[in-house]
Amino acid sequence: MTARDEEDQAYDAALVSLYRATAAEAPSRRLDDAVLAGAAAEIRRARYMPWAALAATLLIAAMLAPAVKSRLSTSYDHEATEEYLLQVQAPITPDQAADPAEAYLLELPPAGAKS
Amino acid sequence: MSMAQLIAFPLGPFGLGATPANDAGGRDLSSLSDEALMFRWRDGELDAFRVLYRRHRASLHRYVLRMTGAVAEAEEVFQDVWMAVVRSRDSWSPLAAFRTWLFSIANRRLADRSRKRARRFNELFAAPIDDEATSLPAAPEPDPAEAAHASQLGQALLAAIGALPLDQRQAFLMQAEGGLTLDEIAAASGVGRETVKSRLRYANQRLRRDLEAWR
Repeated sequence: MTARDEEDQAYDAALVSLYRATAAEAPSRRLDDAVLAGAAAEIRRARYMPWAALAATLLIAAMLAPAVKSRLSTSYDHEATEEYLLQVQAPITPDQAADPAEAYLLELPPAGAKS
Repeated sequence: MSMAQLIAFPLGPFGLGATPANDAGGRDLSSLSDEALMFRWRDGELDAFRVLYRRHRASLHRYVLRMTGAVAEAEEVFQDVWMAVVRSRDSWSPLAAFRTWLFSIANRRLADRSRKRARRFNELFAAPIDDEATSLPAAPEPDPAEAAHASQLGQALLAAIGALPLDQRQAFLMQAEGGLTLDEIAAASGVGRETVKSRLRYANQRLRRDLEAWR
């Protein structure tokens, strides 16, 4: 490094120092307030958000409660249900067939049975 | 949700969860690193953000002021950058130094604005710095004659910086204003280290040349 280079480097450093001493602008109070207010609003939003979510959940639960309650309180008729299931599960006889073709098919012996 | 938020949660809506200026051990927040403050801000500590803001507000403001060359535009960008810091509270992670991250946000915002205006980046920022940006007084000096000379030289320096091509001005200001290292400038401006080195070299050469009369 030549003496000139060293001199230039020192001068560059001096310019940076001079720049730092000269450039004294700062943001206005209004700008500071706006940024800090934005940060405070963000914190408030974060703090209130769980409460808002909780309130919304409770509101929905309260709205759905009557429907759920009526559904749960409906009596269950065991006998009627059993009778219905027996009807559904009982084999269909030829006289219950919807048309002659179905009656014919129902009269056929099951597959694999010896005639 | 962090432990601090969980603790603050039941009291927050009633205004009782305000955080103290010092931490639990009575330690002054201003002694903490940027990254430690950012962690605290992530946990919902507003005072940590205040300290962080106070620490970097002036340098970032001067940086965007010199990059835009207009006070009103600089204020918009400045506020935009800090709001980005505020909003990225939850997502921030210490992948880079806070300063580097802050200046890279500023660079992105500056680039966005130039794209929106549909102008070339250099054309936009090569505009001369307005009077308000350059005519602010220098720090007072004890000797009036020396102070006058320093002030005049300072104003000439600011004008010379304002006349630098954008990429050189960006590199020079990130070093002079933000105190960023070569690697940090490279990361914040999205170019290689060697590119930053040459930009700084050209910037210094040009400033030397422009201020030759004062030397």
